[in-house]
Amino acid sequence: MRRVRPLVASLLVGCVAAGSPAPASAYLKLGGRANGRTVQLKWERLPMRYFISNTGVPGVTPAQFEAAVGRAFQTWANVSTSTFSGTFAGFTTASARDDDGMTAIGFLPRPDQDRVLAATRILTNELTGEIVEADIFFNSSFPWSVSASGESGRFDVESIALHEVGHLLGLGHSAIGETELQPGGRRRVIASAAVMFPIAFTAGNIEERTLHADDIAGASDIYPDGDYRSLTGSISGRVTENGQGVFGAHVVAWNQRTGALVSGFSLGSDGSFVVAGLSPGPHVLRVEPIDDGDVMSFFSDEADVDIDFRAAFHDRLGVAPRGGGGDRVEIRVVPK
Amino acid sequence: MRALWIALCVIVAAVPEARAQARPRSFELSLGGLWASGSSLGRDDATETRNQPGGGPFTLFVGSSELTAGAGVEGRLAFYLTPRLAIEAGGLFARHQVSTRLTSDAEDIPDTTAVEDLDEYAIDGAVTYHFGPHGKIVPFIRGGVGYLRQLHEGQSLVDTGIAYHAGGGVTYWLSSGGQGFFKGWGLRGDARVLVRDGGFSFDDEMRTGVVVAGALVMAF
Repeated sequence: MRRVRPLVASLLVGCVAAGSPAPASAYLKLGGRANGRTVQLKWERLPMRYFISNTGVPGVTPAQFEAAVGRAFQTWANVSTSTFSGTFAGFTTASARDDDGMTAIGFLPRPDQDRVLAATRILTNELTGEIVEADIFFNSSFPWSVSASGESGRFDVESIALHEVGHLLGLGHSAIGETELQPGGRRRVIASAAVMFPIAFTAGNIEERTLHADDIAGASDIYPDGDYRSLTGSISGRVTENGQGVFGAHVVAWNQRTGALVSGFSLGSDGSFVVAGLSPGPHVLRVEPIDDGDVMSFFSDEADVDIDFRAAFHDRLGVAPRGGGGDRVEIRVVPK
Repeated sequence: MRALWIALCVIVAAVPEARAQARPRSFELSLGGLWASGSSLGRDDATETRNQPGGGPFTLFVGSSELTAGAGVEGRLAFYLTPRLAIEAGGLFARHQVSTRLTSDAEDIPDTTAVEDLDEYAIDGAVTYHFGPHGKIVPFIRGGVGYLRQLHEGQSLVDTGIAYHAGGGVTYWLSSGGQGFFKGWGLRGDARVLVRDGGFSFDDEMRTGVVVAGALVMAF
């Protein structure tokens, strides 16, 4: 008998206030604890099947919505190093919030969640981490568009769907992005290099219809194709401050040859981190506190997350070997 | 390099073959040290997508990298086909660093230089032509091609390629004309242009550098 337990996977928009479960052993994958061990959340049967709610909103018919969501699924399926794929199973009258074993994606009116554009709710098998259902609701309180070139003042369904499908397949949030604080406490994105960054681009922007290296590394880590693990490498080590481990530090690896930015978090009490899915070669390592978004967007318990240190570069290049991990590095940071 | 070639030509002109003593050699073994120049590996921006269509990429920081100059050791074995012409096999080891200067960070991280050690091994085959082969001072020119193997820090990643080299130098025989198995010994200095095709780089372009070497030579 399959036991299921709901997990709120993510929320998206402005200053997001609710969080994802704590990432598992890797940097941006969703995971949880089961029987005393960490399990990775993933679909076991692919292509996974999803339904589209037959409710439209002004400017977006159900058919247009289905087409935009379908393009988002196809973008993830096009990742050559990942086996993930989804298939449209039909329209449904079911709500995108029901725990009914059916993955439904659709609009819901949630005016109370005025900073949430969309959210993914995942049901998993507690013992194995298998995802059995993942509903995505789009908040119909916001203006939406499916225009190919974007529409000023309206959020792009395909861009937001691409982010939410990332959660649906098992990814948490990435912190590769820069923000600035706005009056009223909201944050505005200046730039990002991950579709899985928790704060959306401005309404009308369609730049986030394209996956970045960090997103691709994450999806490929969960659903690797045959050669992925043997062709990529990882860098691991510790982030320390005065000899003590720093929990929740954001570590970004940059490959000058490819231009790829791929990130991870220090997830151990000793400050240990792993950045996986890297092209073989030397990488610049940059570490910073999670200060460009709500800590709860990344970790379920913000109490343990250290954000009181200065961003820094590691003074050694980290080498990612082909098909494995290199020597562990120690990145020292200093308090603000 | 230009000065080197001029010096080489002057030496060639100054060593009349008539002064030479007979010293039939079959083999030469040389062991010594070398210095290999570095090369630029390019400058690139680490960028993010800006939340402003048409605004161009957002630069998180800038990285400028180079392969630093390195020191190492070399051994060569030459076999004389004629008194002037020899074929050689050689092997060298040199330790470089990949050095990346990180600047212009978006969050004002102080400029930093990040490095890793890069150990370079090469084996090659070459042809050497000696001018005035029986003199005390013997200039020569040499060209060859070899296999390049570079190990990154931690020795968990290898880059390979081909190395072409051409150059010349001088052997100064301190003792020569021996009648037994050991024919003599001397000192050798040479300089060469080294072109690396493959090996480590951030692009697929060939890299040109200079190697200067000094060695103890023994003739057999």
